[in-house]
Amino acid sequence: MSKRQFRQSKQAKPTDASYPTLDSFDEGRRGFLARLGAMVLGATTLAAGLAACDSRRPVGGEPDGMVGPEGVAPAPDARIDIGPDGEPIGPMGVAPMPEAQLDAGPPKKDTMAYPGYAPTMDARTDGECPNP
Amino acid sequence: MKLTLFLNHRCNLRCTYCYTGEKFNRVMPREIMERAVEFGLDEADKGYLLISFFGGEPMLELELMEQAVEYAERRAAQRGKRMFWAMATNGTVLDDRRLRLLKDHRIQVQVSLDGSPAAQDATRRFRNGRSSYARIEANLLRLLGEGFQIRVVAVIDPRNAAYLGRSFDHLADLGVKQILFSPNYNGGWTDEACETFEQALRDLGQRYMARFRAGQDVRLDPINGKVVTHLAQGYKEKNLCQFGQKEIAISPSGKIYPCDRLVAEDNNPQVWIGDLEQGLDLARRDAMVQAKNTADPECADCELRPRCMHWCGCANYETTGNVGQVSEVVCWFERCFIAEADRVANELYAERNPVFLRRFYVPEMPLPARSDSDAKPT
Repeated sequence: MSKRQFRQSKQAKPTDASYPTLDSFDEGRRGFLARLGAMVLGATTLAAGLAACDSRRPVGGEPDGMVGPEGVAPAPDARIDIGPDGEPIGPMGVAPMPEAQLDAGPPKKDTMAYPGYAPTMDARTDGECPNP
Repeated sequence: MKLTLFLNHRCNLRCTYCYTGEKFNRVMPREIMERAVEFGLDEADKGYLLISFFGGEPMLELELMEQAVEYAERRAAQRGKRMFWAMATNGTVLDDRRLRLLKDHRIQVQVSLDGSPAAQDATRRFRNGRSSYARIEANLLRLLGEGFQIRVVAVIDPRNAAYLGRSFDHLADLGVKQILFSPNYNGGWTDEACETFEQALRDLGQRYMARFRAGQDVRLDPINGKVVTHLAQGYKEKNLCQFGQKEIAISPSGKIYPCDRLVAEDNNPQVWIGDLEQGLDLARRDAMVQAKNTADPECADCELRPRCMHWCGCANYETTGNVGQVSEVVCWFERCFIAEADRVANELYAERNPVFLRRFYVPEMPLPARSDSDAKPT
């Protein structure tokens, strides 16, 4: 009798794994975060753009509101495409490349490691070996 | 480098399935212990040595353990290496002096306990036939109360298979956070016993899911381990057994073995790979490692192979007499565990169970607040 025949007829059928592997989960999460980031940044940029179109509101930051002719939006380069470090962050309404800011997710968990234990061979981990 | 020291062959229990064979009164002499430590430090090329005490029942050899810890830590310091400690005990022997030793040297403790009182009494009684359960539970609770992270290893045997799920709940209710159910492959798995196990495993899976749903993070192997093999798409090389290479066992007589499970009564030259007198017999060691790593041809095309412990030389040897040949019973257990792990993980992932996601996918995710009424799943 082959190994696989042992109990095969009586054993419950193996279940196919529908939960994602770590790689596909991380890929999905990166994609989600990138889309989320793009939406947030797009919305922020749009809001800033709309605000800039509002002649009653100073956009350039000048306290006297002298930012340009009445009813004319200032050039889009006024502030909204400048990051906090003065770096351009891309055209209006377009998210920066996701890997720049969004991909830096948390460090991947080593699911093989034994939590709280010394870094011994027992970190072998799957924990399936009965030997101490 | 992991070195297992078999401190003795004697034990106060008479477990029905004990793979270390007959119990007799042989204790590792101090001189052998010291040579074993030197051998371990010689082999510890990564800068640390883990010594694991085993037997018999190692707690019966308190003085020898104290001497080993003192000697190894002194010699490791002199040789610029770090020491780590572990021990497998049946949990029946614990007093203030032993507790102090465990605490002072941060010895990882693994307690062998088959679960509920009924499961334990079916297989692990004292030499005189009395139940060992009450004493072990008291000692286990004392260790947990002292903050030890105890791993409990419970053996699955035809005599106790029916209790599997209840045993898991029982141990988890005691506060144990790491539980491994390890099969006695040679237990005589008749059709009826297999049927009982398959049903009990399903029940175990349900109870494991209930823990997750109650907000509890208990590590239950092999279910946990089999989930990880799907996540990581197989065992990682670094996590495979280091049989005979970075894992060595030394018997009380000073013989060297590639795994603690092969020591037994210390009388089978087929599995020796040297002794402390002559050192490692590299030719024999390499031959055994090669035999273990040679794929069983019947397994070569199996789609579950990356997730299977076909590489466990000691399980193979115990069941087929060949470290590289997988038995049908090992194959069946592996198939059962993988199927149940996938069933559990499929459900918990579909629910987006936060404890499950945190354990396996997003470790930084905070756990939801738990009320006391959640503490025990029904």
